[in-house]
Amino acid sequence: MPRTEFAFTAADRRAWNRIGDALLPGYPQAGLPRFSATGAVELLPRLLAASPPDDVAALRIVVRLLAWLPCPLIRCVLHLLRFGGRAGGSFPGNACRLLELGLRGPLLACYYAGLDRDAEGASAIHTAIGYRISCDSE
Amino acid sequence: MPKTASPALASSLGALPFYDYIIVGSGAGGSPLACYLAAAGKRVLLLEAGREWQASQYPDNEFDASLALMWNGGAEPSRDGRLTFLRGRALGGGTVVNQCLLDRFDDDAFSSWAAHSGIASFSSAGMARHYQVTEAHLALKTISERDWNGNARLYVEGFEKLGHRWAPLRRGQRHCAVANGNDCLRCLGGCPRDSKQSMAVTFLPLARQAGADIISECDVQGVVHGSRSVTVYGRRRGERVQFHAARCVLAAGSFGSTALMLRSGLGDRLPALGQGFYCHPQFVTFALYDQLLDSHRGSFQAVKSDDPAFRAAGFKLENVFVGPMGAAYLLPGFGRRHLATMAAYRHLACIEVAVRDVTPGRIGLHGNGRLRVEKPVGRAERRRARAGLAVIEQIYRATGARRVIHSPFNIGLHLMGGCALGTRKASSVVNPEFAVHGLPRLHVVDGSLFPDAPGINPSLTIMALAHRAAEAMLGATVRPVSRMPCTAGQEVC
Repeated sequence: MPRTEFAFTAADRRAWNRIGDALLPGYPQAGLPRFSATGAVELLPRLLAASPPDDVAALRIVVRLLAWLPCPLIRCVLHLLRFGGRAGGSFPGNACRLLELGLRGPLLACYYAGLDRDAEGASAIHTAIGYRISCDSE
Repeated sequence: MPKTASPALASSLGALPFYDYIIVGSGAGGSPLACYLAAAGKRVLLLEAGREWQASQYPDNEFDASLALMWNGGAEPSRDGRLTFLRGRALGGGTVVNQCLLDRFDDDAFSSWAAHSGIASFSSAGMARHYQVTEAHLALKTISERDWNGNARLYVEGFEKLGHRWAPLRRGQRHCAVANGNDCLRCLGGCPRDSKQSMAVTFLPLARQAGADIISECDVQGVVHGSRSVTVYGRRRGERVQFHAARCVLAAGSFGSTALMLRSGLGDRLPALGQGFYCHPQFVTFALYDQLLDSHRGSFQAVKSDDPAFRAAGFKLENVFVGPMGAAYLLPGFGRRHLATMAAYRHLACIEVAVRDVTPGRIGLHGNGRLRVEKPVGRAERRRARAGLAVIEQIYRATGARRVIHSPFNIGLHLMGGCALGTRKASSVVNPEFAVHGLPRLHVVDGSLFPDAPGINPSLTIMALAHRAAEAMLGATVRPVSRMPCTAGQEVC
């Protein structure tokens, strides 16, 4: 069963927001805000609680270390992971691919979850990309 | 002899009997089998790790659906990170979160199975009756042109311009009412209309009606095979539990059943356990168009490739789409370019190559008991993928795409093998009567039985194998199970 409790500290929140902003810096032309402006980071504890604990522990260390870097350097690391993962071979290819999944997956999931809902239940991000689906139960 | 390890469970469920069969897993294998065995008068207990959902309770968004209905929050990578696997965790198993595309296997798939397994009765003719009985329990519809969205129209236009054969998809659904504005993308997180023919609306109610006991949120951790009985143990809502039966059937899917046997210490006596894992690796390609496509609306998957040349080349092209979370994950890169592509979500088309993989993977355990899946994407898979991707490029060019975007991330949705059926213990785990070699009280009935990758969606054939297994276990012909009419005052019937 997924764990229901997960210690997500203010330092974790800051670190994930920094990396989130490097990954999702915003695209104002389309009304898409930067990651940290959406509050999407608040979804991360639930997502991480559903992941294997040893993965989460390792990811937490990486995120905290990465967050010390200036934003351009974080982007460099993300590029390195991307190209390292395509390079093939077990090292550093495997580590790059798994780390890229571990960083990109949670951040993109939280950003595009559409749970940034206003009083009418509309998500600004889903509205910006034009995503809306419906399915009547009857 | 009623037994439970937990007084709390005993009080909530009543005294549990000694069962004829305990079935672990309620997906396309476990649910039909529970239905047939219970209808034949056997005492059946069906255990499921996920929870039970009513149609009105399914999450209404991708995020919560992934967390609530999938193992590990929605994505499990292979050991080398080249593939990400998705598998359902709910009463009804993967059928709650899949697209319910229900095709029979062809002669090519079965002849390959017969060759790999040594079981000559694997043939279209030999499986026909099992398919017929299975299909008698399902509402099957062919998606009509009226329900196509922009992505399906482009797909067909491209196929026709290039002279490739396509066909409408056959899907398990009853009343989707797409013309009324319903979007089937929603039912990848559980169908709120009870239209999709998941186990939750087909075989499970029949199994219940026939008297099967069903316990959800029960995480089975091991099986002990004795000379007269089988003990199944695990945890339910934090409590240790154990159940006893004359026989146990593992139907927890490729990963679940294989891992359960390995955790039960059976790896040493079954040399083929965990070997021969396949997953139809999927290579996704998007394209950006000037016009609005709204690929996420309506029947987001309506047509399929039906070209013999593709089949011979070992791939098929799937007309698919995904929600924003899935699209963002699959689109390459990050930063403003990625955001700009997502901003054009309504202009995106998507086709994927599903490869019939031939390089076997291996399912094992890490030292801490955690699942370890090794699945190489070999030279043959890469060659097949390249052939399919070349056709997709041609389709997109022929239909006026502004930009073609290949995803660097590959996914595996059809998890098959690990406990292969076969006549020889050296190369298989389960014998033609669906019992584990040397363990007559332990059976397997799910996708882990597949001796190789068929290149066709597996759900219907897993259900048909469950029918075949029921006949092997009961030693009798098994006919379709009818739904009993409701009687006055019954809420569920």
